[in-house]
Amino acid sequence: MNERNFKTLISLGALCLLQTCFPGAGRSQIGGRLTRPFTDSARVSLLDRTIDPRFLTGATSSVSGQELSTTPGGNRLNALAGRIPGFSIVQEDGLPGAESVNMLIRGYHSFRGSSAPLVLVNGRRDDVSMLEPNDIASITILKDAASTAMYGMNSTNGIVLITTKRGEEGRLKIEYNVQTSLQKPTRLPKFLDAYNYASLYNEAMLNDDPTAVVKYDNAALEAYKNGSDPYRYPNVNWLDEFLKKQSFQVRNNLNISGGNNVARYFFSGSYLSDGGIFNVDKGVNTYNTNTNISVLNARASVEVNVGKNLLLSTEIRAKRDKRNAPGAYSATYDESLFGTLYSTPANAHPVMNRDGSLAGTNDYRNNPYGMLNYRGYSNYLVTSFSNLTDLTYDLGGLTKGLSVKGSFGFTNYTQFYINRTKTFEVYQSNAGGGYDKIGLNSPITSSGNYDQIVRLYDHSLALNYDRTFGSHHVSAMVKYRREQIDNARSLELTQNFQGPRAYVSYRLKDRYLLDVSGAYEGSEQYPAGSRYGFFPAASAGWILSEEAFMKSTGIDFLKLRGSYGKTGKPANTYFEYLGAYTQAASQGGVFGTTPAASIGIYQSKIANPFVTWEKTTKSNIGLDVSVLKQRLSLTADFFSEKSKDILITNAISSMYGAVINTPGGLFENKGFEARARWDDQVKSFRYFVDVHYANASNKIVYMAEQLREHPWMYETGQPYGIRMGYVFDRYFTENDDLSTLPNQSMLGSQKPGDLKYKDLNGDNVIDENDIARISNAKMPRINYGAQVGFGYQNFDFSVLFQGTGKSSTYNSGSAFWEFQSRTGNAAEHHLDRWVPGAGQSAGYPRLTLSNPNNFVANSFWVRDNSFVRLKFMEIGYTTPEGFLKRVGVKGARIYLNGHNLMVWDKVKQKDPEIQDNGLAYPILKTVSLGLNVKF
Amino acid sequence: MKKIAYFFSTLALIGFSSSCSNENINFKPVQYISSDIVYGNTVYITQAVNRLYTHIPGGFNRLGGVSMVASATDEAVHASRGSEAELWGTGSWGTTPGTQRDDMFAFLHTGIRATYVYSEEVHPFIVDAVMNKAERDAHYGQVLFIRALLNFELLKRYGEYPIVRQAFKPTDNMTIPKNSYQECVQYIADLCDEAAPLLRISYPTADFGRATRGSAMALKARLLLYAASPLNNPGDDVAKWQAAAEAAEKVISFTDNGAKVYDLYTAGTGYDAFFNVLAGNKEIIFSKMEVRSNNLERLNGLVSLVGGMGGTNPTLDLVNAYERLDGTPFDWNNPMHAEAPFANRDPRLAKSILFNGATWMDTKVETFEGGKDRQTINATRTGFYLRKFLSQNARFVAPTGVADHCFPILRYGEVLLNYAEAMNEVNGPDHAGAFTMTAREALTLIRKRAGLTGNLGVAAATTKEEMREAIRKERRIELAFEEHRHMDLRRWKLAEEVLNKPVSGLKITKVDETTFTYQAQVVENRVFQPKMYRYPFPQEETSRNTSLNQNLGW
Repeated sequence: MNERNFKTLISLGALCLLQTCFPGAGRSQIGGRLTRPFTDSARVSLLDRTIDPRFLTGATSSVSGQELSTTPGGNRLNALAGRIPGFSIVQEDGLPGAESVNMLIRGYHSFRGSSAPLVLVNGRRDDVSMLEPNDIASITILKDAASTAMYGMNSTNGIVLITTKRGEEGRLKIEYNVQTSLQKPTRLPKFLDAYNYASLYNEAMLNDDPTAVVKYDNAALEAYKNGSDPYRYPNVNWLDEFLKKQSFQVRNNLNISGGNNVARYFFSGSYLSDGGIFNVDKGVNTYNTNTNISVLNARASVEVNVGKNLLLSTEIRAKRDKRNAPGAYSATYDESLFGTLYSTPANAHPVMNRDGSLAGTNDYRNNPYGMLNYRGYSNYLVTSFSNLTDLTYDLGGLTKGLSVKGSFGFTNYTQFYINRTKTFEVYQSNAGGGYDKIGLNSPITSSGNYDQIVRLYDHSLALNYDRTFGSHHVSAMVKYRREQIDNARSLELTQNFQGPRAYVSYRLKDRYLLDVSGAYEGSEQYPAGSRYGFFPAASAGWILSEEAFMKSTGIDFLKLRGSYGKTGKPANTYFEYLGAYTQAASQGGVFGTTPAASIGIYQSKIANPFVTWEKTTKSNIGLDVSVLKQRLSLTADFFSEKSKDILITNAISSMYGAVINTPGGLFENKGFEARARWDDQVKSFRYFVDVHYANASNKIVYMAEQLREHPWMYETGQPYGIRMGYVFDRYFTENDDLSTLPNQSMLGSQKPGDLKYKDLNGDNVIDENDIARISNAKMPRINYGAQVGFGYQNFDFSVLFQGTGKSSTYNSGSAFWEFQSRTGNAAEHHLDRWVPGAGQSAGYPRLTLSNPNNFVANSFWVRDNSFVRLKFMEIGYTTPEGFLKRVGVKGARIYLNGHNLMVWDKVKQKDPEIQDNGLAYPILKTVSLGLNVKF
Repeated sequence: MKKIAYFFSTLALIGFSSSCSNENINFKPVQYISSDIVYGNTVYITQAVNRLYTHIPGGFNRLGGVSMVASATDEAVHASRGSEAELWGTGSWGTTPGTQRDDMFAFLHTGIRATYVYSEEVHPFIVDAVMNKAERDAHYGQVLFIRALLNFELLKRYGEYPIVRQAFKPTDNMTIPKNSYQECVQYIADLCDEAAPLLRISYPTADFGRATRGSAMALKARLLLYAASPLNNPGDDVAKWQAAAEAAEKVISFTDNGAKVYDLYTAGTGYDAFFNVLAGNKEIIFSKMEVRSNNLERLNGLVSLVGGMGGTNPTLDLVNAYERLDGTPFDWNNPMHAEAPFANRDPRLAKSILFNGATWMDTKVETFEGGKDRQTINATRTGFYLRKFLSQNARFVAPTGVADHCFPILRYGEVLLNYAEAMNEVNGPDHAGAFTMTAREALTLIRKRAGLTGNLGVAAATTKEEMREAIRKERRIELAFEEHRHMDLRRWKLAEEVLNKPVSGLKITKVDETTFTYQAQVVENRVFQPKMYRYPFPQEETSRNTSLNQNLGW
């Protein structure tokens, strides 16, 4: 059965089931979607342990896998957007398979390297792409030092800890999930039709040179307007022609679990397919050239009690993710496709010529039809295989509560591409009524290789202790762990992290909590003698509501907690502590009466004894409250972080004679998170409201920035990631006498309607001294969210809003600027351009074919990209208990949901989250119909 | 049960011991070349020395890769606007990045470090079996010479500076004060003296361009001349002039097997051919060697040739300084002179500067108003284009070609002028003192090679003062564009006077095919403040090295 048939069958199956289930009514529910967050009896997963959330002393947030399971899309991490306080997510593209996600836990932690959190699966690094949602038991976000310090050198950025499902004792359970999604772009640029394009092009030519002979005469303009000759005067809406109105995604998952006191198991298999957004011509090729993907995931988890004391558990995941693309594959192939679509004007050429040949011109050789259908195809195969095996031996015979655990983890991850590509020719009509060929039809050439072969390997041995003595409870672990990361496609050696780590947790009378943890971890990247770092953390909590004096206050639960500790972030250098010489041709002096460059040998790396990891001291104070019979829960956290030893260059004398990194950089980050939840039930009407708000503000304290003439030119003292540029003042107008205004000629020539920048230092010249901070960073400093849900009888409903603040985007490139490279496109927002008499009311500067003045980095193009998004909305119906018993079904739930449905923002021309140039595969809004059946 | 326990603990033990081993954490990339590989191989040793030559500054359009130092002086202006030379010449000069001019502090120290890396990590460990002593010395001599040259480049810019005497370790104390001017001179002179006997007198053709014994001697002669000059010798200590004369004389009388090692290049067309000929050119003492190209021709090319960038535009002030062919001064007020101003001039004018009516790369230079080389962007601003160093054969327009260009760092012509200047200060124009050649005789050699037909000895200059003036004028002409003028004006303490006057170009109006009228016009301002006699240290450097006092006035 081929993929397409398979897909159709599954969809049909889903529809049939849907029709069978829908009419029913009853009182059963599955899912238990409404839970109380702070007194839930379920345990929260932390590094190397689980804990009753009441006794948490660190800063963490968690979300159940089930809550995320119906969110469409392949990248599961995107489903977390808006759900977790202090966790910001920006999705920069919607390319199936990638859906690039930028994550930050509590903002940035350094101005060097990445601040993205570590994502762990069951406590270890693993392949996290295309995780099957129904395999996930929970995701915990570990934020402060107390919850991450045991990850030693990689603990600063916080951790996203994914825990997968395991089998539970009980009868065989079979669960089937299917979801069909309709997807369309949230927002696409709106380009002009042929007539408007040609008129504006003429205007731009005349703006640049009033004596120019315009490209389009009146007859041409008239022809564009009335469409009388679509071959000579085409008017093609390229986006309509080549983007589908909607694309399809289908997900299926079947899992089986169960077990007894000897063995437990969980097996899961799933299939995801996405048809791709492009409107390819299916009749042209024997192969598919769309951006479709298909993903197979299989996971098996088995736990066996061998004898009385030994527990063996193993989990295997295998994944095959096949992505298809028109033409050759690259990480940014979507940008070249959308770049072509967006920069081909409506009047460039028809799709096909009158004689049926593919149209094109010398300026526009990349006819989008050809780009999609005549360039062959490529496959990109991402496969991975992971295994985690644990052996736990209960040493209760020695002393009660003691056990030893050995773990072995292995992941093999590869990316492999196969290109079957060719080029194509286009035909331009000539004066003689015939056609000139441009380009060449080539036969398909074939190439392929691995572009990544990664092996992750880790093992550990741990001693665990957990025991209660009267009102004392002690839990402790000491573990030695080694982690190795290999990339066979890189010339770099294996990366290693190894060392002991431990925690001791003590609880008195279930109200006084103390927790000490830490790691002593080393890496080969640092000089001998300073390879190991110590990363300790301590936290404490006091559950006041357990005290006698609080009993009559009506406060159900009140806990104060605080943590303090030291975390690490790798320097991300390569053997910088070692010196080395390099021999290179033509790198020596030039000698000879016929001068020739000689081979030279030089010290290319100077041993740097200073290289070290970044160290961050983090403190956190938090409060958890539950009142009104646990209907209202509140939690708040304040945090402060100070990072040091960030590598900086330029800090020591040039008399040293070389550039050297020294660990002198300083960075600060602080903020707060608050969350409130109201949870209640009125008869059979259950509902909740859950809101959260977080702010993380950082500052570059010291980066040995080069000396600047003026204070506003410094990035030091500013948050990381801000943009620098000229500050837009106003448009030049026809009333300006340029000779009396600050001289802006360094940036090009100026005419009325061009951007005038502020002369910050007042020297009457616009130059680099007038460059200042013009925006916030792309990643938001403020993140908030709100979720409301209710259940009535068998219906449930929930809605999630995601909000961000203090962030920016920069509108630039061929999707936003007019006539780029003199052949680019023009969009609707160009109609609001400056024209004589417009004064300061125009929304866009005068149009031009080339005018560097307006396009240097400046604040005019900055947009505040804070937004509020209707991120997710779902309505579900659960069949009554026993309703489907006669067909062997224990329960079923059908739902309809929408993802990225609406957005309120100030950017307008593109989705506020998409990468700055707007050329990426669009972010999608999705409507899905799904079904969950339990047997 | 027990069995399982034993099995498990054994397994655990194995796992644990392997985990705790430090084998992985001590991995090193084995492909890294360490110093023992370098000093253990004779070819590698030579390659390590080869590399050091890349740290020597050149001179062609080197400011920002665009303009020449000459364009910041009274010699020229740069065609395209906003060049580093223009900013520098017009007085825009500061201590922070972006405002620094000709800032070589870090570049020179990178080279100095590289010489010490050789001295410390390679040289001491070379054994006879790898390289014999004579070869070892010949290599080491080059290293010492390059160190001396780079230090001289620091001294000439900054005056007193902190001498670096080792390859610093990052942990070393780099807060060190300036050495006195005399200490710096002594240090560099000692390096020259140490290098000279180790160096070869000459090389086979394949190694042409390496530092020779004469290179070290000529560098010392320049060093001592600078040290004796008014800026650095305020007490006018004659002993310093004497030392400078002596050092120059050693180069002049330097013989090998009875033959003079250096001499003025007179073959072919002489003065201009010198800059493009390497084989058999006995005037070259040390040059910044470059591979053959036409890059220089393009950067300074006529704008009427496709790709010509205009580049360096000689000033009218310089053009006026060239004498008539017979050695008499040129004068615009003399109608005969003014009628054909570029005819019958010192032959070095036509060999250094392209003027209206000259022929270059098969085209006639048209710098009159409306002429093809006076229009469009980057056209000359003075009416003149650079000719010196350029080769007609290195065409960047079809049929293209390339030529040798080696920027002269030390050449025999300069040594003669150094000698003349120092000798005149010690003995006056016509006394040879302990040597065999007088100042006037040295000057005569230069003027004779130039092709002047008369007044070779500048007979009118009878006093030391008049002779000083004549030598300075000669130096301006002979060494034009060779990065001497900006330093000569400083060491003579004339920069305040000369570099505070605007520089001019020539407005040429075409009357008919052969008749033109000429009018001087100011093209660029020049600003020189007293503090500019010394370059400023980068402000970042003075803030990092708190013992380094900024130069006066900065």
